[in-house]
Amino acid sequence: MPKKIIKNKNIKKYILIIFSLFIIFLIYNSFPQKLNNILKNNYQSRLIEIYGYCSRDSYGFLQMIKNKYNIEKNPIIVNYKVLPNSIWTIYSPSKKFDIKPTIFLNYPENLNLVLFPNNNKIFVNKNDIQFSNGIKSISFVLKQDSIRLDNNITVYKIPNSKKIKIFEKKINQTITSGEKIDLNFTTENINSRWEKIYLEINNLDKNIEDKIVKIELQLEHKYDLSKFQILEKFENCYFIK
Amino acid sequence: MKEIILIFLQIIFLAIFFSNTFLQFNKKITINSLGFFGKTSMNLILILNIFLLLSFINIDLKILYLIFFGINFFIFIFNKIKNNTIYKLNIYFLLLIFLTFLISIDLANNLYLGWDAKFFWYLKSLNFYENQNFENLKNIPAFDYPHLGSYLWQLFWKYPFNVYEYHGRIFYVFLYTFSIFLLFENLEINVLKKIILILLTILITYSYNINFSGNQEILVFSLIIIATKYSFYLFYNEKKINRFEIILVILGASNLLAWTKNEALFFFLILIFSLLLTAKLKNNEKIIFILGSLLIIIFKSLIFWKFQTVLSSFEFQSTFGEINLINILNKIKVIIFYLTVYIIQIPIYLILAPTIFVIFFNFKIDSVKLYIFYFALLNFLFIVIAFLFAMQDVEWQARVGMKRVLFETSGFYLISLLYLIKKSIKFFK
Repeated sequence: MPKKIIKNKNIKKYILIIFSLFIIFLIYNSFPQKLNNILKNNYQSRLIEIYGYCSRDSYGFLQMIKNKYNIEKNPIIVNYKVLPNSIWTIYSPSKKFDIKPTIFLNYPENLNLVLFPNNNKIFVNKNDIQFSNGIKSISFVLKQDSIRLDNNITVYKIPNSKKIKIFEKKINQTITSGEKIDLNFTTENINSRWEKIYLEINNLDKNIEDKIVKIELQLEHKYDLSKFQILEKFENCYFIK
Repeated sequence: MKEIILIFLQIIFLAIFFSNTFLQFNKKITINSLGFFGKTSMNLILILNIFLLLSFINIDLKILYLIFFGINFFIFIFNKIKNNTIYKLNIYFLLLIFLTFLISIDLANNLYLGWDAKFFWYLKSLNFYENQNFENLKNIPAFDYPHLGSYLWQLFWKYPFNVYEYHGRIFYVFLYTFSIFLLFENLEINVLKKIILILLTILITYSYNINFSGNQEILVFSLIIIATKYSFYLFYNEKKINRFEIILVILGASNLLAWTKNEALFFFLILIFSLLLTAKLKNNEKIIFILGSLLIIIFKSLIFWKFQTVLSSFEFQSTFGEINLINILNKIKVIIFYLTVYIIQIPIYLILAPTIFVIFFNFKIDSVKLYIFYFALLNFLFIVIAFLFAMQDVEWQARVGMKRVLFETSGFYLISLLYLIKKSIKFFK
């Protein structure tokens, strides 16, 4: 009899542990909220919530295009966000691919590469750039009105431990904050999906370096949408003919 | 509400589908003497291997699948009536359904696909979903990556309900929970303790992003657990299961591993090699293991050769082309750094490390301990070598991929828990 009591006590203890583990699992995974979300929002709206209508993968925009237009080929999609190609949302394995891009997602009006001081006369990009085919101009945001530069600037990237020089120019002039200096240099090397882009100013005086807040490279669009007939537009998402 | 009901029905469908085949009518099959999960695991390995073979055949398999599903359902009902067990409920079965349901709710809510899933796993799945053949996968990125996981994804998306994409991924959830239940089945400890172990294992291994975002690591994790569980029977076989059957299940799981992820082919070879070194196998058993492994490799190589597969996802040519000692040492430094960081980030390693420590220092060296030791040694050695040569940018590759690769084999180390319970049965009883 006493043995049985101990056993029963143990059973209660184990059941309590199991119950606690369940509670931890449910709370840790926010199960009630998730269940509620499924009950409240249908499948499509949940997908749009995750992948965006015209942001991130732009699932909503692509579904709209797929449903509204009779697309005979898998379109080539250009997404300016660094993500896997959004074709997965509307891909049809039985269709061939189109030959030129017709869908542009998260298309920025201006393509700017912004570089912030890192150390030792080197500036590093914070944002990624895709689908540019050249550098239009460069500008400096300064802590004071102007600085005097008489230095070589070099833009480069280092994929797989190999330095690739993208652009080099000597700048010898007084630079005012925000002023754009024309460069008009054609290159696709400036695009960087993974690697950092570095801008180095050779022999830069420490005093001058401290006065530079950031450097901006204004880039050329590889796809200038003003040259195409736009069939559908929603915010920064475009479907062109 | 419709979605919730369909999720539930999908799970019930999967459980019935895999738990019933003609195999259980054969009284000579000793695995039938195991519990529900043992029997089902044998069916599961067999059915998945059949699906793998069917995935290469370019015919509309709709009728075949419907017959297959129909027969299994008939066997389920027949067995229930024959054994008069219609109203009898197995607590583990109910718990399996319940836990799979909870995780599936997370899946249905989250829906998010990982990078590789969007890039090719989902596209491969779409290929089969739209009745395109195996060769058409060439039009999709990463043809050199295996297709089995994607094939199963579309299969259970299409059958039986053909409504939501994530129904296919509920199979991944089912396989994951199932493998954990299987691992702890037949342990001679009481029901409640077993349930605690199951819940704890799920708590420490569950993470949506690694497990269910459409990537295939969870399949490798689950299949390795199944193979590990059966390999444990080669050391401790109280149920007197025919060793030939055990070897067949391990080889069956190995074949599935080889077609789930490329690195998983090496994981199964490591597992079998470690078994050959440590389990007291008879000569004919060793021969079956070796021939079986060779057959799996030859079959995979033949498919690679027939479809002129190029390993385009890897950069072996350039990495092998620029071997120098300093470069290699620098890369090893990076790999070991990420190895350490990610081992700390994967709870199962953190929790099992003390268990392994305890069994290595508290009990005499025996074959199971050597098995764990060899597997761990070869596994980590393989990871270092693979990351050293697969891509040029080792840092990037280790940063984005190593955590998932480490997770894949982490299930194996749960064997240390089985061993500890076995050795300290009085304490755990």
